[in-house]
Parts: sequence; structure tokens; C-alpha cells
Amino acid sequence: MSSTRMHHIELSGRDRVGIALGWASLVLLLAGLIWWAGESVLSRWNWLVLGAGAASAVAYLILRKGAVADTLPRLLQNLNTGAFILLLLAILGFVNYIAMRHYGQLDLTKQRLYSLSPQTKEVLKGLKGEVELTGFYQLAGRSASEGFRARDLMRQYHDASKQVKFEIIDPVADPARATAKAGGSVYSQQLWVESGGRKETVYTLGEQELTSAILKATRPQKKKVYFLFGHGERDIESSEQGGMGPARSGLEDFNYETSKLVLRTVKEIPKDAAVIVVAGPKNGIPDDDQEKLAKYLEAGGKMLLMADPLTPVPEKLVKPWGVEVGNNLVYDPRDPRGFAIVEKFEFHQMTKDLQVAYFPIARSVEAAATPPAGVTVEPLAKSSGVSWGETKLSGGATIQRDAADKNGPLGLAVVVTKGSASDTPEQTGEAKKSTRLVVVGDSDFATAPFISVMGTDGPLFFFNIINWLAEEEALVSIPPKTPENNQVFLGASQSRFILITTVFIIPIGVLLSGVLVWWRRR
Amino acid sequence: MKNALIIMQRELRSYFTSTIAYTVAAFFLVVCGYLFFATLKLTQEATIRYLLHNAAVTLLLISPAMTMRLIAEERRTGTIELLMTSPVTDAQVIIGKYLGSLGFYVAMLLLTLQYPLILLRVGAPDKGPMLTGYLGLLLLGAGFLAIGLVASSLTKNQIVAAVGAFAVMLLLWIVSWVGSGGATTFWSEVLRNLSMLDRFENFTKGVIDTRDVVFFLSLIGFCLFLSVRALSATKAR
Repeated sequence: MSSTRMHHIELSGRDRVGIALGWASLVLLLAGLIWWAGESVLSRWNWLVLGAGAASAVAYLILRKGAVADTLPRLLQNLNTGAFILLLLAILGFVNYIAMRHYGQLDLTKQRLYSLSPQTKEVLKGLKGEVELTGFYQLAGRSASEGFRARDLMRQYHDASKQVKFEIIDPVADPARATAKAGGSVYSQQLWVESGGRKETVYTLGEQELTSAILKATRPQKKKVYFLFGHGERDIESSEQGGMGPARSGLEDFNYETSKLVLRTVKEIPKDAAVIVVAGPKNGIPDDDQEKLAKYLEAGGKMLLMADPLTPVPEKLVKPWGVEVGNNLVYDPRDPRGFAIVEKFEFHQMTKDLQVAYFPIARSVEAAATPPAGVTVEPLAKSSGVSWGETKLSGGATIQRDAADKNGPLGLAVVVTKGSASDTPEQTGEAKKSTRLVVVGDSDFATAPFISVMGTDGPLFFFNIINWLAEEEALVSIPPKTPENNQVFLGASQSRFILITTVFIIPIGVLLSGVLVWWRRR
Repeated sequence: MKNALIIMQRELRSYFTSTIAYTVAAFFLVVCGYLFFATLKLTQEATIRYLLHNAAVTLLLISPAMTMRLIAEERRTGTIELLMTSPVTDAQVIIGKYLGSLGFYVAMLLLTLQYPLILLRVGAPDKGPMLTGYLGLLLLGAGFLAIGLVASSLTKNQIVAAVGAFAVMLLLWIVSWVGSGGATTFWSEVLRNLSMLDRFENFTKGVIDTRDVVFFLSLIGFCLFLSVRALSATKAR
């Protein structure tokens, strides 16, 4: 009794300040930590609160040194084990919580199978609403590995953005859940992307496909690609040789709307045109039609012009932009058919992942020596050094290198920009007003059958051009990542050897060592 | 630290002179060997991903047998008195015992290196996932052993220690199943984060995630702490 009174009497002003500071530090530190936990970043004000908490704690310890030294050992002794365990759990929980928020991943697979491309990350960063991924895959049996791949891929997207939720349903193991989700029977091996009531389905598993599907499901408006029609252009309805049907359906897979454009029926290019494609007009474009297109380009239009050899060049669309289209046929003697081969594309966002492509019947397209002011003309693709530009194009003439023929490398495609020359996605607002024109000296590469040929990058080049022109840089070729083929074909003797070693020799060896040890000890 | 190392040596010696340890290792190797062979035949894929899953489940079954003795045996035979009166701290005893069991486990893992070596010979497997897979197996096993150590330090009955450890491990293994029925929700996320199976998953794919490493280290640290407290509680009595 007397000691407590004495204690009270001993409390000086200094002690009172110390006690107040102690409480203040507790409150500040707690508030600061909760604040930090609530938001993922540590703001300046948050720092300030935590700092003030820490400072008052230090001040408390200094002011109340005696009392702390008195009570601390007793306090620690009296804390029972249970409380200690709880405290440790809480600390570990907190450590793990912080670790969850600030983590790193090291992907050691050869092809970086579990790392998303920058394009996908950009798309996910821009997500406004929730995106729900539902994979219908078998997780057992022979096709289980596809299911695991689907789950891994969805988890990566989920880890990259909180907006992405995912689940995987095995329609064979859990038909009830699959039917409930799909509202009917559903096949395996498909992935649904749902957002805001829209649904896209992915059948071929891959980052490119999934990211495109997310873009489609989250972007309300489809961009429109117009194909010029009426001057002998490639037919977008046909999938026969020379038809652009496959290219068109490819664009629709990228979420574009496609349409024919007949200039005679319109006064100007439609306002909703994202890109105009002029695909090898055989008959030449009349002057008044050229005027309309030129006006569109001047006002910040986006156009892909493919000009085939032996067809009239729409001069009003190339001359003012510093592009020179040659009257020749680019011939590569190494190809039995003489097709122009591009083995190394010039560096540009559209071409950076491309390697080899054929331009079957092509003419040269090069930048003029002095481009008009404010216009940038860059090469995209060049033919090889052994090729040449054949100028004797009349029937019957043999193809051979003459003095009049220009030697390779010859330009096959150029890109023209005016206004904001930069093509970074961040500058889309500014870039809206800038002209983008790509001129290619060939249209075969974008038509059947060449557009469907695997192993060359011609098709990718076409889609990259359209995506870039439409300012959909995020869609520009995410190189596909497929797990490497790690197939092992075991011969009968190899198979026997593995069975005998792994199941018999080594385990029995271990067992025998055990027996030996036991024998010795006995 | 020196005391802990001496205890570790003692523990390792007792492992390598015990027939139970050899039997356990042989059992582990037979099961893994058969599963390795069977999946290789079936999938014809040069990967140890399937094997890692199988090995992890096998480990779940046998690791209680590796740890049940650790403290319970000392308690039963009364040698724990000797340990307590000797000039070593409880923490040194626990760490030494733990490192001993870990050493035995690593020796067992070394024998499983035959599978990757075979794959390297017959095919061209991706080496990265093999490396991360083994790191994952090491952390997972270390977690199992730590849980087993807690169970062993709480009782003098080895069977109770083994069954208790197994129950906890199994729960921690499949805890995410509760949440996996529906879509990803907050609680299914929490449970997924507690599940050793899910934590192990990344390693088998070829990815080292700091979250998984922190989880396993926390689990091990927590279990070692619990074991030390359990041992101290005995002493206080």
C-alpha cells in the first residue's frame, strides 16, 4: 500500500510526459501499420505517422528508462507460453502478409513459360472492371497436362492483376459444376473470359490468345478496318488462291470489324475507320478516289497500301509521303520460284519479333532521298543482297540481271509517320492525330495460300501492321510460348534398365545396407 | 552452435545405425522409383514434375516415421534427463535434433538424383524446373520434419508422435480443398496460402516465388520455436 503511494508521489512531470508519449507511440505505430496494410504503397503521410510513432517510442524509452528496466524482465517472465505463441504467430502472419504484397518470382524454365510478356502486363494494368476466367479442362488422365497449363496461365494473370479471378472446372470429374456454370453441357479444353456481361472463348491455350480474348471482352467498341473495293483489289470474301478471306477472319479474331469500302458511294472516308487497307488494286485508282484517300491520310489517317508489280501506282498516296514505288519485280535467284525473301526485318515495333518472310511477287518500295518536311519514312523490310529488281517485265523476256536492273538489297516495305513520330502506347492521345502509312510492294503475302503458311512470318507481319496502324500496340505479336517438346522414346532395353535401377537395385541396396548395419550391431 | 552440431552428429549417427531409417529410405525409393518409371512410360515426357508430386505425397506418409523418435524416444527411455542436466540449452537440443533429421532427409534426396540423371541421359529435359523442384522438395521436407519434431517433443509415445504429425501435415496439405469448390474468394485465397500443396506447386513448375520461400521458412521457424517451448515446459515440471 505504502509502496504504491510512494510510487504515485514519485511521478514527476517528466514521467507523465514519458507515459503520454508511450501511449501516443503505441497508437501512432498501430494506426500507421494498419494504414500501410490497407494500402499497398507507403505514402508520405503514412511514413510521417510511423516516424512520429517511432520517435515517441524512443522518447518514451529515454524518459522512462528506470521504469522500463524495472518491469521488462518481470513482464517477459510472466508472459505465458500461449501468449508468446500467439505473438509469434501474429508476427509471422504479418511477415507473410508483407511478403504476399511485395514478392518476386524467378522463372527458371528455359522459355520463361511462367512470365507474362510486357504487352499482357500493360493490358492487365489497364483493366477497369473485373474479368472472370473459367477454364473447362480435365485435370486427370491423358489431357491433364493441358489442364495444368491452363491453370498455370490463369494464375499468372490473376497474380498480375487483382481484377482477374479464375477457376478451373473439370467437366468429367465434376459435371454438375460444369453444367451449372455453362448452363448446359460443355466440352473440355476451352476457357471462358467474362467481363461486364460479355463472353469470349479461348480454344487454343496461349498468352496471345488469352490476352486478345481479355481485350475483346473488356473493350466495348470494335475498331473497324475498311478494305477498299472497286478497283480490282483482293477479294476479302474469297479463301481461294489470291483471296483475303483468311486475313480478314484473322483480323476478326483480333476483334476488328471488317467491311468493304466503295469510294464512289461516299463523299469522304467514314469517320469510324480505324485503318484503310488498299490491297493490290489491279485497275488503278481514279484521281477523285485518290483525292479522298489522300485527304484522309493528310487528316491523320491510317492506311496499309499494298502495291503489286505491273499495276498502276496510286501516286497521290505515295509521292507526297516520300515513298518511291519501283517499276520492277524483286527477284531472288535462291528461291526456285524467284520469290523475294526477307531474312532480317529492319527494326520497328511491328517487326521486332519477325524473322523470315516471303514476298512472292513484289516490287520495290523505298524511301525517297529527301522526304517532305515533317514526314518520317523508315524501311521495314529489305530483300537480300543477291536479289535484284528485274525491269524487263514484258511477257517472254528471260529473267536475268541486266545493267538496268537495280541490285539488292531493295526495300520491300516502308512505314511513314507524320505528326508525333513516336509510336509508344503511352502517347495514344497525341498519336491520334498523326498519320500512319505502311506501303508494301506486294499483296500476295497477305492472301491465300501464303497467309496460312506456317513457319514464315509473313502472316504475322500483316497482322502486326494492322494492329500498329490501329494503335492496338498491345496486340502486336506476343511470341507464342509452347513448352518444348520433351518427348522421350524409350527402347525396350532402356526401359528395362530404368525399371531395374530405380525400383530394384537402389532401394534394395539401401535395404541391404540396413541389414548390414543391423548385423554388425548384433 | 557447437553444442547443436554435436547433437546433430549424434542424431545422424543414430539414423545411420538404425534399421528403421534404412527401411524408411528403401520404402521411399521403391515408391518413387516405381512412380518415376510408370509416369515416364505413360507420359513419355522428360520432366520430373509428376515425380515431384508423387514424391511429396510419399514424403507426407513417411516423414512422421523419420521424426517420431527424435524427442519422444529420449523421453521414453529417460535419457532426456541426461540432456537436460548437460550444459546445453533447449534451443541447442532442438536445432541439433532438427539438423540431424534434415541431414538424413538430404541423404535420401541425394539418392533420388538418379531420376534427373536418367532423364538427362535419355532426353533433353529443361534443367531449371529440376533445380527448383529439388529446392521445393527440400523446403517441403524441411517443413514436414519440423512439424514432426513438434509432435515428437510433445509426447513420449512414438506412435502418437507419428500419427499427430501426419494429421497436421495432411491438414496443411489439403487445407485449400475447402475453398477450391467455388470461385476465388478471400477465404479460399487465405486457405490456398496456407496449403503446403499449393506452396509446393510453383517449385514443380520451375518458378521460385519469394512468397513460397517465406512461407516455408516461417513454418519451420514456428515449429522449431514450438518444439523448444515444449521441451522447456518439460524441464519446468
